[in-house]
Amino acid sequence: MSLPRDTDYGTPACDSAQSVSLLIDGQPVCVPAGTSIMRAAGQSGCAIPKLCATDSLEPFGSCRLCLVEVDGRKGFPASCTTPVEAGMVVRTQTPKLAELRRNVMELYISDHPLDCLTCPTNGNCELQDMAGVVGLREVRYGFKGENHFECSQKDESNPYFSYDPAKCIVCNRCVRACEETQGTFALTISGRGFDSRVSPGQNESFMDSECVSCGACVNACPTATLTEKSVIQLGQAERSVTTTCAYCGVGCSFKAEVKGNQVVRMVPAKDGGANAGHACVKGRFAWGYATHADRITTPMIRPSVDAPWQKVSWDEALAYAAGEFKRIQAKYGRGAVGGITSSRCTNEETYLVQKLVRAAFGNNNVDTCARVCHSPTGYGLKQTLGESAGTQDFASVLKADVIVVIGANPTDGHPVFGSLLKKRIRQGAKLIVVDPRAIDLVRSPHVAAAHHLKLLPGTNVAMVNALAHTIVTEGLVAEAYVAERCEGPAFEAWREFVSRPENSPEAAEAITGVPAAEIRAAARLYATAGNGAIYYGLGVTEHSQGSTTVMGIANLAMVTGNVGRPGVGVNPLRGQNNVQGSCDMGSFPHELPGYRHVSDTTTRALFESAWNVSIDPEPGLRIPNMFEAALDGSFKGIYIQGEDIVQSDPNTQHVEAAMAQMECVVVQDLFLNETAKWAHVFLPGSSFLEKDGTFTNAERRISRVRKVMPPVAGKADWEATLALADALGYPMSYGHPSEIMDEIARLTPSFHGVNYDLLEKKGSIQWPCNEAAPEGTPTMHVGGFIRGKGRFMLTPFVPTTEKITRRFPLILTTGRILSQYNVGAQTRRTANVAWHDEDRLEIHPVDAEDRGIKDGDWVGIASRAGETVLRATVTERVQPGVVYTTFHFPESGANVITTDNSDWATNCPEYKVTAVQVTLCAQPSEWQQRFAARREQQQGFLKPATTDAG
Amino acid sequence: MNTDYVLRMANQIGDALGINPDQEQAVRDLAEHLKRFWEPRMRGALLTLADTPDGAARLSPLVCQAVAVLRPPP
Repeated sequence: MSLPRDTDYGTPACDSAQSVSLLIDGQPVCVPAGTSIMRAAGQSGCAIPKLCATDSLEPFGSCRLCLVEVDGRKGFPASCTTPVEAGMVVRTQTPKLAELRRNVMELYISDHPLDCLTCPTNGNCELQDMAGVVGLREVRYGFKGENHFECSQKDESNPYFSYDPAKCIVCNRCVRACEETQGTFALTISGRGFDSRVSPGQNESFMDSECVSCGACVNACPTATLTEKSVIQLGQAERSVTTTCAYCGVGCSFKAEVKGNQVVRMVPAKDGGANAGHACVKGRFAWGYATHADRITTPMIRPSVDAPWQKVSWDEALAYAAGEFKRIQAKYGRGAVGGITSSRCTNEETYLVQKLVRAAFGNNNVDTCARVCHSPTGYGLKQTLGESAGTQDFASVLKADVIVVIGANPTDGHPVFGSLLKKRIRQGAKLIVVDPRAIDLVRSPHVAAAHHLKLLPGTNVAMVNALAHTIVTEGLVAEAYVAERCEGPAFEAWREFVSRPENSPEAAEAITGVPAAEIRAAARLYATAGNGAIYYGLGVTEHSQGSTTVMGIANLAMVTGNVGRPGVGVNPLRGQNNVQGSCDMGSFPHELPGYRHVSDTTTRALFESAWNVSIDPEPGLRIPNMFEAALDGSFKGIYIQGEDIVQSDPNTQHVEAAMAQMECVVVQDLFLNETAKWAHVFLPGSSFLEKDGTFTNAERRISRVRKVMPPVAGKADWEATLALADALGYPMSYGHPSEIMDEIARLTPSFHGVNYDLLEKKGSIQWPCNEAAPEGTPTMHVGGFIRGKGRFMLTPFVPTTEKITRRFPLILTTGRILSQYNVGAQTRRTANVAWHDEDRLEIHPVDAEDRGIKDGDWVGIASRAGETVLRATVTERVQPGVVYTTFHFPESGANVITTDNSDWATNCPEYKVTAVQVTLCAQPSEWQQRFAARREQQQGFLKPATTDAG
Repeated sequence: MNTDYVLRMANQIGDALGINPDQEQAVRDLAEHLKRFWEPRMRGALLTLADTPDGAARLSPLVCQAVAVLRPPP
C-alpha cells in the first residue's frame, strides 16, 4: 500500500487580492483572480482528472484530460489553462466529459506497458489513478503498431534514478520542472509522435548532460518513467517522517519515506518553508552515508594516537574521557580543556555541548565551525544592524528588483536557493555578481549578470567602498531613510570617509582589477533599481578583512534604504545546515545563547541560576587560539562533536602539530575522520536520521529534525553529551530534546515563544519568536533596527599580508562544488563521487601555458605554509593570476597550502587568499606521502578493535 | 602563546580600528575589543610582549596605547 500523496491542485496558487466568484458543479466558489478552473474546483472539493498538470508548475494544457464544460462557451476548455471569471458556470462531471476523458485515457494506455503489478510505482502512479478515475475498461486500439514501449532503451546512467522511456506519456512535467523549478534547462522532448523522448542535453544520457540531478523531474513524473533506483530496488515505503536536511544552510524540509528502519527515499516536502518542494542532489539522494559500512558504532579508547583502538562500552569510554579531562584540569588548570560544538548537530545538542563546557569544565573554551566560515557575519551584522543574522526569508528574493551576489556561489553551495534566485532573474530582476571566478550565475541558460565585477581575491573591501563612494558622491543616498533610521554622527563620518578619493572606483580599479566604469554602473543599478537585495557567502567572510566587508555590505544596504521590508536586505548564505543555530546557541567563546556577552552580569546570573554553577566572565579560546594554546602547552584536552578540524581548518601541518600536543582528544562523529586520527576517545555519533531536535537555517528558520530510525550506536548525540556531563559530575536531566528547547526558550529572549508544539503546528518558525512576534519574524528590522538606530561603520581597506611575490606569483582561492559537501565525510560515501571524485586545481590557460601545464596534468602547489599535488583543470573560469581548488577530499591537502592568516575581528581564516606557485609535478608532496602512511596506520589501528567485538 | 601570533593579530585589529578620527576612542575601542574577544592568556601574552623593548617596538602605537588601558592598575 503506497503512502498518501499530498493534495495537488494542478496549478499554482495565485496571490491576487481581488476575488472572483463562480459556480462549479452547482457550488458557489470564491477564489483569487487568476486562479485556474482546475485549482478552483480542487479547492472546492471537485478534483478534476489531470495528467500534465501539477501545482508546482505553470499549466501546460497538453493531456486533454482536464476538460470541462463552461456555460456559454463552445467546446471543452482545458481547466488547467482557463482562468476563472466572475459569474462563470462550470461543470466538471457530465456524460460527455466522461466519454471524452475515457477516450483520452484509452489513447494513453494503448501506448503504455500493462505491467502494473511489476512496476515500481504500482499504487503510486497518476496514470494508473486516472485510468481508475475515468472508468477505463477497454483499449480498443490494441497494442500493436508504432508505440513508445517496445524498443525503448532505459537510461540508467544517473546513479540515483532511472529513465524508462517505455513508460513516458510525454506530459512534459519533467522538462518543465527542470526549467521552472530547477532552472537548469537540461531537458527537452526530442522527436515527434511515437519518436518523442525526454532528451537530456543534445540527446545525451542524463549523466553526460547538464542535468544536476536535483530530482525535480523525478518528483514531477506522474508515472514510473523517472523513478528513484532505491524505490526500484526496495519497493515503496511504509511510512513517512518529515524532517530537515543535514547538508547546507538552506535547511530543506524532506519527507523521509521509510520501510522498517530503512530509508527508501527522501522526498522534498511541498510545504517546506525553505524549499517549497524542491531539493538538490545532496539532500534528495546523498543520504546513504548514514548506513555506510565505514560508520563506527562502538565507543573506542586508546592511550596514545600511535596505539590501536580498543572497543569499549559507552560507560567505559565516558568514564575514561571524564577522568582524563579531570586529570588535565588538575594538572594544567581549569582552562586547559574545551569543546567544539557542531554546526551539523541540532540546536539542542549544540546547546548541551556549550553548557557542558561552561558548567562542567568551568570555562568558556567553546567554539564552533562558524569560526572558520561566518563568524565575521556575526560580528559585522551585530555592529551595524544589531543582530547576528540575515535579515530576510528566502522567498524575499522573489520581490527583489536587483540582486547582488558577493563571494557566494548559490547554484553550487545553496542550490535550492540558487534555483529560486534564478527564477527571479528570469522574471526580470537584474543581477550583479562580485566574484573572482565566473560562477554559473554569471551566464547560464536564461540568466546573465548585468555586471560581473571580477575582482582580485582579497580586495572586497576596496570594492564595497567604491560602490558606496559612487552612491554617496552621485547623490543616490536614501536620505530620508538614513535620517530616520540610522545614527546621524556615524553616518556623517562614514559619508566623509567613503567620499575620499582613495575610496573612489578609479582608485579601486588599480586594487581590484575591475574597471571603474563597471563599478560605477553596478553601484547605480543597485541604488536605483527598486528593491536591492545582497546575498553573500564565504567569499566575503573568509578574508583577513571579512568582518570589514560584512560591515561594508550592511553600510551599502542602509545607505540605499534596503533593509526592513521584503525584497531587500543583507543575506548571509550560511554554509552548514545548523551554523546559524550553533551560533544562536552560545557556541562562541565570548557569548552565551542569544549572542549575549559572557561579561554581562545580568545574563550570566540568569544562566548561573538555571544551571546552578558560576560562569566565567572572561571569553574563552577560539579554535585557532586553541591550537596556539596547545602548542604552548596550556591547552591539553578537547571534546569535539561533529567537526573535522584537521581537514577543514587552514594550515594543516600547524593543526597537526597542535593536535600532537594534546593529551585527551574526544571525537564524537559518524566516521573515523581526520581529527579522529589524533583522538584518544571516539564516541560514535548519530546521523540526522537517528535523532530528534531542531536545525536553524540561514533565514533563521527553526525546523524540526525527527527521528527516522534508532541511533545505530545506541545513543543520539544529545544523549552522549548528557552521559559525558554525568561522568564529569555535572548531571543534566532531560528526557527529550523538547525539554532542552524549553530551557533554551526560557533563557533566550529571541526564542521565548519557541516550543515543539508550536513547531508541530506551524511546521517551522523564524526567530525572533517571542511575545512581540508570536508567529516568528520572516523579515527583520521592519520599522527600526534591532539595535535602535543603524550604525554605519568605517571600513578602511587594509591589504592582506599574504602577498604575491616572484616565488609565489599566483593567488589560490578555495571553494566548493555542487555534488560534494564540505570535508566530504558524508558525500564521499555516496554515489555523488560519480560527479566529483577528486579535487582539482583550476588554472587559467595563460598561466598553464607559461608553466607547460595541460589539462589533467599533475601539478604541485606550493605556498608559504606547505605543498600539495593535484591534477589541473585548465579553464577560463578563473582569471589569469588566480587558481582555485576545492577541499572535499582529505588526501588533496588543500588546507596544507592555506595559511593561518585570519580576520582581524574574529580569527576567521583567510582561506580565500593564498600566494602560491604552481609547477608540473610527478609525485605526491611530502605531506601527501605522510598522509597516506598515517591513513594506513590509523585504519590498521581499527582492525584489532573490530575483531575484539563481543 | 606564540608572541608573533599575538603581535600580528593585535596590529591587525589596530589597523582596522585606527581609522577612527577620534584616536582616543580608537584606543578605547581596541582595548575593549581585546577584552571582549581575547581569552586572558592571550591578553597576558600581549602585555608581556609589550613589556619587552623589541615587542613594544613591533606593536603599533595604537596597540601600545590600548595595552596601557588594559594593564591592571599597579
